Amino acid sequence: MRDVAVIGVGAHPWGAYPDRSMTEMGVEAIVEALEDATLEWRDVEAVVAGSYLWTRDREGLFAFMSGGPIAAQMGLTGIPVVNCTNASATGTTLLREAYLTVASGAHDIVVAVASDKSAGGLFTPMSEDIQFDLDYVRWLTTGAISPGYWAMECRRRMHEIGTTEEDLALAKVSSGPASVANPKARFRRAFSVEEVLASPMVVDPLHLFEICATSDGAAAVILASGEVARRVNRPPIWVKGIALASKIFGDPSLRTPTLSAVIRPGVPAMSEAWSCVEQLWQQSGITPSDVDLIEVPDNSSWHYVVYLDIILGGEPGTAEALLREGGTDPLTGRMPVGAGGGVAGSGEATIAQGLLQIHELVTQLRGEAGDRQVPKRLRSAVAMTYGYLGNNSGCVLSTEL
Amino acid sequence: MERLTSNRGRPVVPQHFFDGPDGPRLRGTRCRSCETVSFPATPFCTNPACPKDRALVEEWHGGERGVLWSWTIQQIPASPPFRFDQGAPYAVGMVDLPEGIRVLGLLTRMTDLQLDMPVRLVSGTLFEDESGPVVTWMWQPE
Repeated sequence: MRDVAVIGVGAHPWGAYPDRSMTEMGVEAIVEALEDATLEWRDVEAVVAGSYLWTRDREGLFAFMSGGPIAAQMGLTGIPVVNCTNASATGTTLLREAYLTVASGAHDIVVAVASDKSAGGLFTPMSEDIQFDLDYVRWLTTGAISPGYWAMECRRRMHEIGTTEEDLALAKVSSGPASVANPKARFRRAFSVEEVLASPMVVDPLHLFEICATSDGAAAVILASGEVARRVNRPPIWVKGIALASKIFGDPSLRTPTLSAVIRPGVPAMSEAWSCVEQLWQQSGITPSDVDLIEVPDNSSWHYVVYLDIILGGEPGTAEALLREGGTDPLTGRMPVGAGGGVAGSGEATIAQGLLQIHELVTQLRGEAGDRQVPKRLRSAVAMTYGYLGNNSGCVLSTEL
Repeated sequence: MERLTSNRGRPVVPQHFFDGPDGPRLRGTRCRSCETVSFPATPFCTNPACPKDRALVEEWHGGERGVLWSWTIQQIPASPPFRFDQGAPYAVGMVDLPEGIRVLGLLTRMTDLQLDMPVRLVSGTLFEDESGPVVTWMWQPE
């Protein structure tokens, strides 16, 4: 396998854009990434694009096969265009497909792009197929919304390891100031613990401000072979590890949007996340103590603590302890988390979110994050995403090969 | 196969739940080889060690009793087509069954809940239409 680097990142700001299509937002992200990489569209040899999920409401087939219309707007050059999805884990999944395309030697310059318009609410079933759409069946029979699943996991965590209401609020508070200085973020403001705890309870024990909003947004990342990366006039950020994992049979965590989970002794909860980080450490040769910067999939405060625990690899509750001492603060902490404000600050544009994480890490690792730049020296950074049905992707980026 | 309806209501999704002569039951499948219970029913055993052979899987009716693994009080209702005349807030729980499966479902009450408390399966009314009550499985704390 060849060495692969990120040489360009671009993003359409996160927000709510009812009058823009996903196609045009995707084009804007690619244009910015090309400018960043000092490349032309004609230099791009392949595109890996995210398939939007909620097509019943928006843009239909053109959003599901988004790479085609985006390439058509850029100007058709006949290159391979692949569309794929992994729900919230899509962004990093696209990056992995692009990585493998370059690492294998098939192509030298590949764009991963995802555009998503999820602003305005909770995700609902995509069909009324009462026989085979189990998402629809779940909806009719239980009325359980996605954050409800997270809330139930959260209550159990509070019981088992002593996570407090304040810890959950701190997860929101910690990355707030960083979002203020991030032009790509949607909710650019800081919060206090009191403010978070005073926000309406949505799914007990999670408050409104502890659950991410849904947003519109698009991001693009350009990967290149080491040879090309050294030629372009930008500091290469090396992909040191990139992994995808799915749930293991017997993992007891009951996943959105399913109705059950088979429990087998000895199989850990969040098995896919554990598998994913294990692969990341093996591939990159780094350990949690070498990590300088972390992006967690903070779809909720529960996600924040559980993913941070898994990345740090310590005893359960390591994340809460770090939060309490201020260690996760992007500007002052010893282990900065969410340096661009995280999912909490952007709201989740489902399939594009993983690429926005990469955008942030690359910007930080290059030292180009302006007022939100993490002051300590950054060498290695980790991002992880969380997807429906128990799938998980993550990557390790580094300034050094 | 049990009758899909009874005077106690029509299941909102009949293939996954029924209220039979012995009381309400979830309808799933069980593997004859490894005894894995799947809910809803699956055509094949989901254990990677088992052959994907339809003949290995038999119908399973169960869920009468379990233990409340966790719950939440949902302050906002799921949007239509979910229909629940009682409205929000309502409690949703995850219940561990002795067969080794965790199952999602509405709870019959929102107060006096405790982790690991025993619960039993009941048929609960979501709404009423011209045919009478339309029901789903719910967990009732014991």
